[in-house]
Amino acid sequence: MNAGLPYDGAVIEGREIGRGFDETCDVVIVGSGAGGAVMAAILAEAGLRVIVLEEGPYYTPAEYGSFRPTESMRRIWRESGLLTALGMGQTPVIGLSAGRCVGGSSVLTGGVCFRIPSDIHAHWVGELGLAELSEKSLEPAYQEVERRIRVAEVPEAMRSEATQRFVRGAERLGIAIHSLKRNTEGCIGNGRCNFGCPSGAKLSVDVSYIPSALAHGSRVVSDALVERVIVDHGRAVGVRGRLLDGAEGRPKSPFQVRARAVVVACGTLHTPILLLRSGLGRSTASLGRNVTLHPALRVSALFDDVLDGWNGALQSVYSNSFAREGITLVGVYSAVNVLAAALPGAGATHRRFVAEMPRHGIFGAMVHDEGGGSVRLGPSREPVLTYRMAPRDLARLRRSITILAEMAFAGGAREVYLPIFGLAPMRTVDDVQKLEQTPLDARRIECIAFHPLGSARMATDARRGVVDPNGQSYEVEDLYIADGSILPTSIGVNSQVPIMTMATRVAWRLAEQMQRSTRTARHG
Amino acid sequence: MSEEGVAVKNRDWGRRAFGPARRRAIAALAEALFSSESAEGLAPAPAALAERVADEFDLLVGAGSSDLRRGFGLLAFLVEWFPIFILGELSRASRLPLARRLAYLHRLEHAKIALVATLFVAFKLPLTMIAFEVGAELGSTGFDRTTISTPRTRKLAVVAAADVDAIHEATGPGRG
Repeated sequence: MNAGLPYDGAVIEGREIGRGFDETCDVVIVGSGAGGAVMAAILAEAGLRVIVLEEGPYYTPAEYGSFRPTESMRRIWRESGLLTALGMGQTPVIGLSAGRCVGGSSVLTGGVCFRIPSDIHAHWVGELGLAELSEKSLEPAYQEVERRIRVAEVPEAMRSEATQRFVRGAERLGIAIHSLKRNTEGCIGNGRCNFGCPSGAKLSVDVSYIPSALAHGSRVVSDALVERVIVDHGRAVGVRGRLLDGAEGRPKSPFQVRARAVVVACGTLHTPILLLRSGLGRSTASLGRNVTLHPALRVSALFDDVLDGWNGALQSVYSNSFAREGITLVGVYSAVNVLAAALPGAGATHRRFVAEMPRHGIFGAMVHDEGGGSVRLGPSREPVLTYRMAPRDLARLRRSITILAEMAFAGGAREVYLPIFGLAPMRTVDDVQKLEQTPLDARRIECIAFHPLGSARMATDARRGVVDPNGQSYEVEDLYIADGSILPTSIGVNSQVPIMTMATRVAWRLAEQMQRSTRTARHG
Repeated sequence: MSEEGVAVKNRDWGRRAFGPARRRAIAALAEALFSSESAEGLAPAPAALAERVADEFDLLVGAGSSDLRRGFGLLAFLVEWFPIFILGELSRASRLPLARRLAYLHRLEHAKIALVATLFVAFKLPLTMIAFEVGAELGSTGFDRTTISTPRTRKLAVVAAADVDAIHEATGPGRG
């Protein structure tokens, strides 16, 4: 029998405990990202004993804020930032960004905060029968999340000059541009949020929720790989796994946590894998299916004067003018080495393009996609994600390239670099419009995705989903899911606030239920 | 310590993905990918740059899962042996003269078969990110801070000092 966990109010680094552990608590939470951290804080504040188990390492904001981009990828991104969805048929190869650290993907976001659009709420209520997910029902949860992570509009002054050029182009074309909302406090526009904020200004969940969870007695353990949910007589009663404390970070010391309730919050890619490895999910056809990604791309444009686009918020504006076409436009300017990597050519040709970087502006778009993704068990502990892009979504992706290029030219760009492998820079709008009508192998499109959603979706019955409207598994009692996997459909906007809002609602219900059962047990 | 002087606890496992031969092949790829031209002609990337890029790429892939390591092992094998199909030359990519290696990369990028172009991108993206994040290569982008991790000290051109103060007043002081 192993000993219990130490507690000193700080994150416990599993790799340093030097032994396995056996613990009991009220709620064990697997994952410390936007879902898990929110659950932990709310449940701990409600007086419940909580243990959070995170597979990734723990770095402080000061530490990850000092990483070079590829150091950040190596240390706190899943699969070192080289994770891809395998495209089936006419589908681009899609690079995915996901966190693997205390705080999860929230550490890697651009800080963009959207509520779920009203028409999506209406669809969930009207078409899917999920009355509990109406805009009105979720309003208190939205307010709670936005208060805690300090959601505020990005001031116009934080827009980089590179973004301003696209904004001017959009205005000339009659495309409405709005300021984004973000969860930052004291942002000075370093323009590298997705590798960890160097000023500690982004209120990712490791900053906004986990400290409260710890202060209310939760224990958060990093380097803790959960391998199985323990099920006894149809009830989830705990989890077991191993600490990543072996040679080269391999799983070694075993641990087990027994709990009255188990919350799985490993994200859209890993939640189905944990359930499948635990022998669960076989009674529903929807586990691991219908994954949506919001496939995204960016267009780079060369202007005549120096813009130094890195001086400003990484993301500051958006446009929903094309929402009916399933396209959201979002301003973005990432770290210069990332942008250099996207420029065409090799050797001296590439170096010439890179030297012009101060005159480049960038803008992005993402597509509100149909669920064409599937998560399956792979040969190692990582899942295999396949994605078949619907022809409609491919057309949307190509349309978004044209829109972004038109904005760039209208903003005064001299050349536009499209995210298509091996393509020379475009010099006129006509060239870009003609290209949209030309057949193109989709696998030439450079595509990225940041919001995998929906692999264990919420539904009104077990035939159509994995969890009920309270996040509880249909298959096993006392098992809850609280991450992006439970979103019933694609939402077409950045997902951190929606995930946190759904987790808040699940946490409130679970806290009420557990407090009620505790009172009942006490009073006989 | 990080390059910004922040004390970083060493949590790196230092796991590698490639053997010495594969690492040399990736360095040869980097030598061509980051080559330059001057009046004297084509010049390979400095050896220190090519070796640093290969070493850090090895650590980057090594930090991933066994699937990722195996996947990139296969891709590295393919990119090393594809000159046979792309250039019609019975030679490993790493043993081609520099000009031919560059021509090989150019043809990979513009290959008619999209998946072949993807092979080029699979290496170009991470290798370029590693190459251009420090030193002279970072400087060549025009980036005007010491490192990518250096917080901005200069005010935005479009922001007056009073506006910055107003932003801080409205949103509270930054931490860290």
